[in-house]
Parts: sequence; structure tokens; C-alpha cells
Amino acid sequence: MTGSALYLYFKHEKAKLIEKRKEELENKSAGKPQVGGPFELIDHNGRVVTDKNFLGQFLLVYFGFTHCPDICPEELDKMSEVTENINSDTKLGKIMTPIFISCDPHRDTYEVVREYLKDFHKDMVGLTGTYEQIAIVAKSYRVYFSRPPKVNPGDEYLVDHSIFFYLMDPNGQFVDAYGKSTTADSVTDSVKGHIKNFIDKGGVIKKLDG
Amino acid sequence: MTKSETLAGKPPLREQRETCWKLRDEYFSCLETLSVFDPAKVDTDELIKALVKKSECWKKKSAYENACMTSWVDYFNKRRTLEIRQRQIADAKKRSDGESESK
Repeated sequence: MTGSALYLYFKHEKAKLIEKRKEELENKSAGKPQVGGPFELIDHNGRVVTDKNFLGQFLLVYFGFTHCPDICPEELDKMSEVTENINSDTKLGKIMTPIFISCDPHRDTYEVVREYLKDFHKDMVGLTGTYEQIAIVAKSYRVYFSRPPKVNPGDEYLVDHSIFFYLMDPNGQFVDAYGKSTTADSVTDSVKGHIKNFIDKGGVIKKLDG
Repeated sequence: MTKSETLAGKPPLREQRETCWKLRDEYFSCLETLSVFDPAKVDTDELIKALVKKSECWKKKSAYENACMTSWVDYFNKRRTLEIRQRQIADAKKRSDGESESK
């Protein structure tokens, strides 16, 4: 091959590589699941809140129900421990809020949720609402939940629901999801890594007082 | 006799939950000593019921069912059966792996 042909050949190959890289990046952002979204719910003090109220903080969001036999309390304990690890880290401060969202609005009034939260981290927020409001937020978090179809008043029942908790960043963007097999320590490490990334990229966190 | 839903839809709190779990575990361990792996059968199978009634597991059954909500008892019992089955499958696989390795 002559010099100019080689030059053209390499230029062509380089262009192909750049095209491929662009495609990969596009697929990467298309591949990240759209988790989270706007919501309007009632907090455990009976106040109406929206997703905007939580911007500025890192959030750990868990969907459960207060009549849950053991998985929910275990996951909420884990979230409490992770929150304490982060918020008591002097280099970070109070930058994390754990949130419990009920997928059993029929029984979980805000008073019931408030009572339930007393067993967990003092900064944990509980959210509930009407069935429609809960359906909207559960759908945006891609959380499946269902209760038995025919329930009479006074009946006992359990709610079937997916059991991850979600890390959301101060801009309300989904970062990561953690399952039942994770430990508080492994989640803490992972969250700290994400926080560092966020800060390195120039992200702004709103630290809360005391 | 089971403890059904508490007053006005109030769910059990931490202490009550932990008592329920403790009594559940004690009862299930007791059943295992009798080689009873399906807690539901204790109510439905007459032979198994008689076996359990003669043992100290019967008292533990009452304690567990009184400490936990009915829906929880049903759920824990079903899950127990599943766990045992999974454990048995895992053990069988281990044994057969061991055999094929030593060949």
C-alpha cells in the first residue's frame, strides 16, 4: 500500500472506532433504568410532601408495609445503620435521609407509619397516601406490589412486594439498588463511593442540621 | 389459638416482633428433632399431630402462635417448608458431587 492509501485506511478505521464509542455511550445511558420520579404523598406527620422536598439529600428509599413479618424490619434496620454510618462521618455530615414508603395504604395511615418508625433511625421519613398516589410512586420506582384481591375489613393479609432499597442522589436521580443479601457494611462502602463520585463531578449536597 | 390482627390495625413493634421470631425459631428447631419439616402438617395430619402433642413441641407451638399474627404464622410455616426443601436439595447435590469426585 502507498503512504497516502495507508493514511486513508487509518483515518477510516479511526472514524469507525469513534462511531462505535459514541454508540456504546448512547447505549449506556439508554441502558440505565429510569427509576424514580415525581410524587405527592403524606409524611408520617400528616404533611403533604413531594419529591422536591427531598432534593439536596442522598436518599435510601424502601417500599414495605408495617404488617411485614420480618424482611421489612431487617431491611429498615440495615438502612438505619447505613444512614448512621454516613451521617456520623465527620467528613460527610448529615447528607442522607432514609425513606420508608408504604405499599399498604389501606392499613398504613400516617399515624400507624409514625408509630412504626419509632423502632428505626430517628431521621427516617415515612410516606403513605391514597392507593392512586402509592401506585404512581411504586410504578416510577419499578416496584411491584400486590395485596390479595378479596380482603374484608378486619382480615389479615400480607402484601407481596419487591424488596430492594434504592439510592437516589441529591438531584433526584437513581444511583444504585441494594438487595436482601447485602450487609450494612457493604452498602455503606458502596454508598460512600457513589457520594465521592457525585462530589468529584461537582454535585451539590444540602447538609441538614444536627 | 392465634393472635389475630392487633387493635385498630396496629402492627407489632420491635419487641413483639422479636419475641415472635424467637418463639418461632424455638418451635421449628423442636419440630426438626421430631423430623417434622412441614409445620402446616401438624394441624392437618392426624399422625403428625399426635406425635407433636406427645412432645414438648406442642407447648412451643402454642407459644409461637400466640406471639405472632395469624398471617405471619402462615407465611413463616410456608417459608420453613421451602427452606428445608432447598436445604435437602443442596445437601443431596453436595453428596452426589462428593461421590463423583472420589470416583
